[in-house]
Amino acid sequence: MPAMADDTDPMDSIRKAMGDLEGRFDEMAKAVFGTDAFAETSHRATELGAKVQRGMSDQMSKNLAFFNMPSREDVTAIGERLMTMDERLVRIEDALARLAPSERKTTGPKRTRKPPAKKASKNKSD
Amino acid sequence: MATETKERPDSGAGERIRSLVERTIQRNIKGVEYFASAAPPVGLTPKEVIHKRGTLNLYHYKPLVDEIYRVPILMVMATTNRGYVFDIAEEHSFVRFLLNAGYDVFVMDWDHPRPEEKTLGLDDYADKFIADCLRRVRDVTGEEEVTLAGYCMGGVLATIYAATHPEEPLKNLACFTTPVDFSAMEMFAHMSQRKYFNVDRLVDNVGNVAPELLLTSFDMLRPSGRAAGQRALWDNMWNGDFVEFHRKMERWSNDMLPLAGEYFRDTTKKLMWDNALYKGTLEVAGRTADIGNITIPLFHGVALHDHIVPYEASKHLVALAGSEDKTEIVLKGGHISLIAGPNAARRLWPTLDEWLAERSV
Repeated sequence: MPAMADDTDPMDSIRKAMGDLEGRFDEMAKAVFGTDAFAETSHRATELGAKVQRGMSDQMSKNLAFFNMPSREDVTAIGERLMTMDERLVRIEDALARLAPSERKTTGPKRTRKPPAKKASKNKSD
Repeated sequence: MATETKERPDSGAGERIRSLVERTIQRNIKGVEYFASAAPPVGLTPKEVIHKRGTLNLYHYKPLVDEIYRVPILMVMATTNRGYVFDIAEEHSFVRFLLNAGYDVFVMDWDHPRPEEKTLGLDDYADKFIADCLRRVRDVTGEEEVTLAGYCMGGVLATIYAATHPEEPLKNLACFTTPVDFSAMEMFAHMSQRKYFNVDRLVDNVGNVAPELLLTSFDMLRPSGRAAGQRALWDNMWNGDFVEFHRKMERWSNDMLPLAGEYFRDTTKKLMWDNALYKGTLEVAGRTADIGNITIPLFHGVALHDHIVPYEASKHLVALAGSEDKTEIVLKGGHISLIAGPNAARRLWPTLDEWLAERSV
């Protein structure tokens, strides 16, 4: 990033202390996140959230059906059918391109650029 | 006549105090500006969307020089984030650097997958979409050979494609901080353990997986990251360039995408649980993704301080590839600063250009 605060800044020691503190906080937090109990609990919470979301979605679908309106699932189903048609079009295009390859007409800059004279290799590992 | 100059004894301390006062004033002025101004624009290099297919966008950037290299580059963006990280600001744009260096640049970028796109799986991302884009790049350029490049999970997709299509006329494969051994991504591996994480139940219930879940996972890798970022912002609020770049990067890192349900299920089961890419047993679109099948020139840029994809996870790409011409470069920087910003402009971009130029004719 562009110029950070310089060494002459009297706040530098506070900055360093904050950096150390953040480092220690990261270590502590990661030790907690790394436990099996945390993994298990967080996944239970995620699952619970997903179930609630699903339940609300089902209830909303029933309400929409009562009012004779399409639900999200109905709209998604139409989208899926469109996607299938899109897939078919891509396959047809592909097949047509293979059967009768179009004469490629390209415009734009010339593709004749050459690399600059080679410098000494800087590869660190091959 | 001799002139006498007297050095003020407190000039060092005075200078420091003056600087501190100036910065405090600037910090207050620019702090008000920060909260009052609109989000800075990103992704401004001129481009054309030459193909759109659901969540996929294929961009062709307008060349900036009169003579370009023969071989075009197709860059695959990670599926979790937006592709404008390659073009974050005019002076810090990877794409603009490549265009000025004489490359013809195409980028595969992703939109939010729509609800019906929950059925898109790893086969779609690593096979169909890339094949589709390669065909269109060939149509536009008239060139058979293409350099395939990918960042992070985009690198994984590019690697899988190259490994499953050894017959394809790819000229080079360039990857940036691309994981291969997913067991070495310790926090992700721990949090996605199959004994606790029922990925089927999650995907069956929600369809596409919300970006908040992924954002939380990334935050867990560096819990103080956000606070440290805000502290750095406050500390450097006096510096307009810093603030503008920070805002752009913050916008990008928060602009995460949901993942298509089946794709999330596939990556969890095949990559995280089975570690199939590393073991050479990954099946994609009926083909085995054995990295040893890759024989084209390979470049892999990895970051020394990458907290998301550690070196232990990424070092196997070059080691496993069957290419004779393969290069791994370990550069200073983190997961994002490897490819975007002043660090990338100084390190990765010129290194890649030097490697790629002679392989793009």
